[in-house]
Amino acid sequence: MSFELNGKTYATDEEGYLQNLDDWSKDVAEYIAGTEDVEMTENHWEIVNFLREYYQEYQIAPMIKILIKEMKKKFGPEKGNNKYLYELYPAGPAKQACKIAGLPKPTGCV
Amino acid sequence: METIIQPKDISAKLREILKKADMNACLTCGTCAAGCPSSGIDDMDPRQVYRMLAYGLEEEVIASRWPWVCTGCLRCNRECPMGVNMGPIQKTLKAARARDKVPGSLHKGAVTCAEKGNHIGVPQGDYLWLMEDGAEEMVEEEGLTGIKVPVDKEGANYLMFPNSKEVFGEPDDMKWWWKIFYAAKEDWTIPSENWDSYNWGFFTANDELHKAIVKHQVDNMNKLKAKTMILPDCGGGSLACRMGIHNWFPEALNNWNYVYLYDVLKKYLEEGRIKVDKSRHPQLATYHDSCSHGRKIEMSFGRGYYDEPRWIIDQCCENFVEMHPNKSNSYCCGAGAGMWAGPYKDAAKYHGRRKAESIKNSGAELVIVSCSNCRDMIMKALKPEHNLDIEVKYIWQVVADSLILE
Repeated sequence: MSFELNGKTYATDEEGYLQNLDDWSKDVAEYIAGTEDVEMTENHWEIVNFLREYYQEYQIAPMIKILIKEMKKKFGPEKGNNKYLYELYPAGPAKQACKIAGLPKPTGCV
Repeated sequence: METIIQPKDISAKLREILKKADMNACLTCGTCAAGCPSSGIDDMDPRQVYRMLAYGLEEEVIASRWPWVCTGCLRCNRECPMGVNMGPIQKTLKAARARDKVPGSLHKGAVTCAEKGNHIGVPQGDYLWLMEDGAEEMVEEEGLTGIKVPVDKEGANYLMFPNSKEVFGEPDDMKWWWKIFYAAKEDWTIPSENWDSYNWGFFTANDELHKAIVKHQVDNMNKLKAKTMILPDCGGGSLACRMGIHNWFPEALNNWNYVYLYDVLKKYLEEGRIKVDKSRHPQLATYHDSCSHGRKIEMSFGRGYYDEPRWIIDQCCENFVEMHPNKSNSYCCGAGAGMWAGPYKDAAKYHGRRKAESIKNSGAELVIVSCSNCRDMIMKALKPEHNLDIEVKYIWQVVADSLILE
């Protein structure tokens, strides 16, 4: 499967997750967010950027509890909590935010 | 000119399976097709698939989506008037698919679990931190002084396997069980490694990976000298583990046994080790029978868990109504056999429409479930899709929410 954006073809898995981490760009993220009915704001970017940095360091997406802990450390408790993350990514940060961040789909029943 | 289709030969392996399945007995009556909620997906149905096989169209069926959009609910098998055994046929068709053609990330997850001890690849340090942190939160937020999640405690009564979905994305969902164990003053434990509860080797009909994951579970029981295993969630995980123990590690049962989650909850309630207040659930409640806790184990092990969950719910809920059909005739939610994690979401939702009708017709406001994938399918997929005005809870969540803590 794939999608086209600005004349370039991007390979995805059957659910629209990017096949290649390096294909990711802000435009690609905006495009994927659109397919998920998510409108990217500064708050959304903070999470996506964190996920990409974390993945690049550890080659795995963080557990949600680690995401919350790190968000709390970086942006304070009003952003480091479950409710806030689900408000931004209603289908669940584990799936939706990872997808927009260009990470592979977590291989679990998430 | 008319084309005459000649039957083709099929592989020796499939021929053996078909012999055992007794396809010659098939009357082509279509009971399987009529009773299967997946009939119609890709213009196929179970009867058509089996007749295609009888005609030698093995490669066509293996290449089709059909084996993978089947939720393995086995209503077809249960209802066939001639006893054609369809489960092993579906398994053989899945197993015949090249592993790099297995849909979605199901194969990758099973390999990850066999190698790293959980499907997602959560590092051990993160996992151990999560358990400690979660228990600390329960002390601070719920005042449950002294609550702990014992890891690798030798000789415990119960060993439980965490579900990597919860560890990764829904950690608070583990706390209901923790709270119940706390209230019952149970001696329980979880393993520090190879801890995952579900089994995508089973979902992908990969005996080697299925066995490797069950071996983790058996090895943990042996190593920690635990007395009883609580068969792991999800429904498919429990069935994969139970079948795997009996197929590959039967001698392990000389040293310990296994129980279902219902056995634990019922025992606590019967023995008065936990006390509950049913006025906490005044709303009309119904129960969804997981195929793997009901029909499927009734067919493979002789007894399904139908009465126990209803008895437990009766202790915790004031009003109960059955949905129809129920128990061994219950419709699958659509998430079975890896469909929740797999890529064919539309097929899962299409299958689940029958369950959604059952729920709607019951008039219940609370749907109680016993499997994490049934829960997610009903709560996150069927509820919005069919505008169901319901709350969905695990049966252990209902018990935990009803607890009277002294």
